[in-house]
Amino acid sequence: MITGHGLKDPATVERTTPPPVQVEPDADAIAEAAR
Amino acid sequence: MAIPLIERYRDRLPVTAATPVVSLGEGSTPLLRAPRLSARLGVDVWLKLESMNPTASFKDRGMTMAVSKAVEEGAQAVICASTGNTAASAATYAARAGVPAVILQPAGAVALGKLVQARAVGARVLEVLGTFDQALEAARELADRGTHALVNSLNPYRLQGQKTGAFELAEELGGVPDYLCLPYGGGGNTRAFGIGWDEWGQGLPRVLAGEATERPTTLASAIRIADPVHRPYAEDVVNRSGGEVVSSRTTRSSRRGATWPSTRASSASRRAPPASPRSRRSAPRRARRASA
Repeated sequence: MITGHGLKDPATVERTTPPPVQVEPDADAIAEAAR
Repeated sequence: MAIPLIERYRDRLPVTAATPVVSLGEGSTPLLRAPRLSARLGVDVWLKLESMNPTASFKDRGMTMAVSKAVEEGAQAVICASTGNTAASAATYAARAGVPAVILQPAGAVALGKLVQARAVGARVLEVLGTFDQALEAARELADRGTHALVNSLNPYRLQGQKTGAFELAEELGGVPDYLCLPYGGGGNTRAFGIGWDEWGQGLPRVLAGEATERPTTLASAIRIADPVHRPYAEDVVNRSGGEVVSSRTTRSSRRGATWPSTRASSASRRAPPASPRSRRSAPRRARRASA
């Protein structure tokens, strides 16, 4: 199973990857944030 | 080495020699008998361990198909709205294929373990300030613009991949079980199993679709979906099977008289293929089995 840090060490993922970006539920806003 | 699901069921899936198989060794999951649950319930209970799929959920069955077809069709990126498992699966299969993944997660509605899976494999994770349904609608709009391939269960290839769960159960049990118990969130998996059983051609098991009593706020984040997009199809499967949609507080019986078998499990003998689901339900049941 591909767990890596994903399931077994979520703290490392949280520390080493960009946090989620908050966006309004709007396609244009999402398209912009997804760039 | 695990056989890719697409290769195992190539003759039953909409793929061609030109389809690039994006696989992580999904499917072919263990089917284990649950002796204590069987004794407690008085039926022969088997558990299909879909958590043994590469990203730990049944979503991988559909995602291998959806991402393979997206790559075949030239998609430059994939997108999905997800309460967690779809996000982890989409992100990981997209990474396997080498295409970007955009994950829309309803704010505050996703379990941490699932959240970080998508991030761990490099997906662009966006937290949508709204419900799952709003996130899904936005994903659909972007897919309609042609900039992203939608890999939610609205993608028909997802259902095609997920139907293989029925094939595996039939092969492993030597026929169709009496009951099939499934969690009921969006309803895509119930619908996919219905497709699978119909294609298998030996009738439907009675489907017990378990939904959260309070859909929008349930602690069970994987099925925290207020408005199931597959409801008509999923409940058609339940109705045709003589099963029920069940929750902890209410039972919406779709067929009066549908009850859990009261007799103890007998031998796991193969049943002859029925002429139709209706005639099969009226016949004596020799084997009492349930799968989850």
